[in-house]
Amino acid sequence: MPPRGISAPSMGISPSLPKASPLVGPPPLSVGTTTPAVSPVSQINSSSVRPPPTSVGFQLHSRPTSYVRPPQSPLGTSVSSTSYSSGISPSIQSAHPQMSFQNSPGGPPTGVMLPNSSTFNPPVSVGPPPTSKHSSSSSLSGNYSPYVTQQQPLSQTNVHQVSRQFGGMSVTKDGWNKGWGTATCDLLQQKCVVPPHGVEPLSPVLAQEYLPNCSPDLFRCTLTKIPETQSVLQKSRMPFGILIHPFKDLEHLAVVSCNTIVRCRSCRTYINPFVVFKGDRRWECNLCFRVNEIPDEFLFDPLSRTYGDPSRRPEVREATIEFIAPQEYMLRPPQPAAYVYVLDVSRQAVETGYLKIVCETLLAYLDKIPGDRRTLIGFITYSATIQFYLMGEGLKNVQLIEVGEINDMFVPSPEDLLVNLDESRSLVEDLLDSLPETHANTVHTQTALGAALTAAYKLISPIGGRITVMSVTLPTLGPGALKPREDPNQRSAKDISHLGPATDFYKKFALDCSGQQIAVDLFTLNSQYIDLATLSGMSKFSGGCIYHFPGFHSERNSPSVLPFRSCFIRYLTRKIGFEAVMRIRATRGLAITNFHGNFFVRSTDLLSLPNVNPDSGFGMQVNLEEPLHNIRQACFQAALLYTSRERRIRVHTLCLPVTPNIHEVLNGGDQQAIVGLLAKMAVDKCLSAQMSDAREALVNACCDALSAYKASLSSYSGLPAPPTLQMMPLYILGLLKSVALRHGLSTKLDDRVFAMCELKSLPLCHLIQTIYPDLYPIHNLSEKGAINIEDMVVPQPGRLHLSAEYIDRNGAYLLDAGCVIYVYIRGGISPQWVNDVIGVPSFAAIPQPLYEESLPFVDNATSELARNFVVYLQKNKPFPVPVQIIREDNPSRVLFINYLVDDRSEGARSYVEFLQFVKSQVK
Amino acid sequence: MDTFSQSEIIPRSCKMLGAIAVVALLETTDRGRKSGRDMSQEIIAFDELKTDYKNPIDQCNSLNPLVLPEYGLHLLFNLLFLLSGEWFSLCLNLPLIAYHINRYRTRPVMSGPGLYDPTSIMNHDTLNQCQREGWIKLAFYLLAFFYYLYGIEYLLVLVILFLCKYFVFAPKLLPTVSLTK
Repeated sequence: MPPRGISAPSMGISPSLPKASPLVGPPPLSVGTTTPAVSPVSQINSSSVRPPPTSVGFQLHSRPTSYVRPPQSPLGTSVSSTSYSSGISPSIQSAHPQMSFQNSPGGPPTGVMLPNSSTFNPPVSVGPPPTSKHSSSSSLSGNYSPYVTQQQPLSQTNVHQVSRQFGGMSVTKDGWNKGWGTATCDLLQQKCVVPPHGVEPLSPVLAQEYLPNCSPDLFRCTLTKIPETQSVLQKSRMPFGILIHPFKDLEHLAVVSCNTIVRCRSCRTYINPFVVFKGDRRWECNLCFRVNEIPDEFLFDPLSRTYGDPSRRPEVREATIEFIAPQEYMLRPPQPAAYVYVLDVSRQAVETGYLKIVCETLLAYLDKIPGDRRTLIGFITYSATIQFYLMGEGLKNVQLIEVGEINDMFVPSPEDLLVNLDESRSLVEDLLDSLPETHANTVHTQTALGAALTAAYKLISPIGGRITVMSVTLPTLGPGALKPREDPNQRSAKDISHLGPATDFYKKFALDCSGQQIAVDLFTLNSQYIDLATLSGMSKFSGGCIYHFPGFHSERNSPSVLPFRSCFIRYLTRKIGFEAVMRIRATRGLAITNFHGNFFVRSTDLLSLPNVNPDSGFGMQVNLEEPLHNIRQACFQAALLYTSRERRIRVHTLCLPVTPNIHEVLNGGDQQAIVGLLAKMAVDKCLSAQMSDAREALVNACCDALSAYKASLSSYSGLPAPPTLQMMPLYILGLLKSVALRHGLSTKLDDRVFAMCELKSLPLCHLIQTIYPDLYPIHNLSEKGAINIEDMVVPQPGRLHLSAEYIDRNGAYLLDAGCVIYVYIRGGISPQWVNDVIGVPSFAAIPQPLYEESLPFVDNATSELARNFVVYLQKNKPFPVPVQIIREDNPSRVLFINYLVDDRSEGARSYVEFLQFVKSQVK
Repeated sequence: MDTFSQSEIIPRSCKMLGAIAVVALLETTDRGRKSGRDMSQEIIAFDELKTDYKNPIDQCNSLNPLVLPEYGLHLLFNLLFLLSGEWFSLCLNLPLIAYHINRYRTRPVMSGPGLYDPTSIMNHDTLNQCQREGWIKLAFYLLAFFYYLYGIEYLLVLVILFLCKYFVFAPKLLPTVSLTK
């Protein structure tokens, strides 16, 4: 009984052909021509097996019942031990319904209705189908060999034979997949899915290739080809959304200053490269399709100083552009930069020594704080009482005012508290010098954070600006007082409670702030529970950012100083946009449903961001409300209006092709963006339901995408995945084992909540790095393939899977997890390398905990290569992170081992097991 | 006599008067119009949010104080149903009571009364859910209102029948009364 994959195509051509051995296979030419007859069948098949979800839009759903493992096959016991090439018996089961087609007389099942034939539109001109027999036989050997060489028990000879035939079947598969221009890979067989030089961000392929699209670093869509209708989107079972990093530091940015910014009259879209010019004087909006007039000013080309051709304007040549806004974009004159620092000076806080570091850093970087001559600065400290510092112009010394009335806060003489940095410079410096000593002998152990925040709000609310909160202890006094909620015994439980806020004081505060254009940034330096789940509300809804330095202590935990200081320096000196709003527009028919990140959603497409900083990213879920018939390209436009000295508008436009073909949609999935969006959705799910639901939903999302892909193929054994999704299971597994979502490993509640905040607000490139860190071998760095950056030879070692399998006992490895870099040195490392790179004679002489900003300086070529590599990695981060060197025999190697996502860990599957599980779920 | 015996109709009509009339009064004066207005107001409010006419903070601030009075009124007249033994009407309303309790129990963390949280209300799902809830409840209250109205009318017919019987079948009573005066 030949499987359908072979017989179905042949039935279309010559019924006498089957029964041939799979090694021969059908002629590849016939493969190309008969595929359209095959694939609709499989579509029916798929829809009858698993109906598409009825809910509108993609949702993270968890099926409570379907997660019982299916009964183990006879092979089941050996499945986990024999790696990638197992999983044969499920393929037989899946083959049964297909085989029934073969019995129906008259070739392909023509009598079956093809409900999806209208949407199924095979593109014939994608690429030439392979015509030479040679190509098919080469792919055959590649696919076939694992089955031939596999050792099978005697009792399973039949299974083996069927699997042979399936192996042959996948040859036909390969043939026509190449015809489509995409090659499928079987995840169960392809052992290495991590590309050695990183995942290239997928850029959308437009019909007009000359048009500049928005850089994938700034703006990504989970689907690089937008499905035309809701039904295609549902069938693809992929999350649809965009991820944006709107305020990223850019090296090259076109800035336009003009009197009138050209925008669509009806939808207010900014003119962009994807509009269509109709004649000389009109343009058609690419979002709402209204035809607008071109103002005279726009015909002038500032570069060549000529009139006439609107297509030479920078607005039409760049997908990312910045306008200097004219008067009508301001409700009030651009505000001055205003900063208020709210510092914890309780007993525990002072003991950690953070105050000294903050004051020193501020003092050193006062000149580099963004702002102009109008910049305002103020300080408030709090413990059981609130202390204000008068630094007004006429004063000779800084005066301290202590207010104990924490339940009814008032601000004494506000004009002397928030002072002009230029005019009161000496007083500010005096204060920063003396502040650590002033509070050195404080006795208060309780803090009244709520009152301090209220005071800061009253101080800065007429202007708007930024409140920076440093908190070390749980606030226990006054408004917003909190109680410890964490149960240390529940740290590794499946469902974590207290992930949500205990009180809405901080959220309300954030909303008040948001209304007054104030953002609250929170630094927590706690060693004990501080209830970040509640405190984070003040930053989440006011467009602020959150930094968490657990266990910070300047003496007892000296390694924690470096990341805090470099983070704080970056925080002080980075660009800042005040009183910002961001509006996302999309082509008619696309609607944005959910937003992820730190901001307040003021209306359906408008985000209120009191401050915008270059290190925060945002995610949005998109829904297809109307079909995009007759639209060839869909666009998203994000416009960020902000103040930094002057009012500016940064506009990003992303254009994506629209396709009615589900196969193209599936092949155009951007795995990093998908995982980025899923992570954000999972965090929401954790808060609205249970964490186990969120974990389940993540696995479901992965299974759904892969089963949609499998269903779109005519037949395939194993676990097929398009090349653009081949790392998705790995990323999902990384996400399940991440600090935010893991269970089984003891994780402090604050650390977990912080990791969740990160998942929601990190830009995609850093997010992926925290989900699946990069592992490089660094014991054999060479100049081969190295790149040259600013006269620095940077070697490019290939990335490895995060598995102990790849960690050689004679090697040294570097793991870049975004917030930390680990260098892990195994015992068998050559003394020569240790001598060259670490600068000590032998492995045993490597000092135990070694923290540096880079590797130690040793004057030789090997060391230089290694150091250059670390410098190169650090450059891609917002601020340099500590490099920790871990010896194999050091107990802190657990830190490194915990990042080995591919391996089995406590309460979590290994990658191979996870793939087997996904395979059992994929129908 | 016939089925309309005095001993039967008096306590029954009292009960019904005591319950239904009050309930109907509540319904017509307070409940019927006011909650109807509440509900439609809520729907309009969510629609306003969708079409972005209003700031979610203001909108939630205006909606939240209305939630508890609505639930309270509903509970109150169900209590009257309970006291008067109107089991059928009570059963009709029980699911809604249960829904209200559950909805309020699982509301977002907030210090004031109310259900709606300005930070999550703009989520597509939440907004849609609130809007759908508004429509369904409006429909339910309207239908229930007409049902109660029917209840009153039924009672009125009963009372009229009783009076008719009293005056038609016992006309001798009247002259005797007037005679004694």
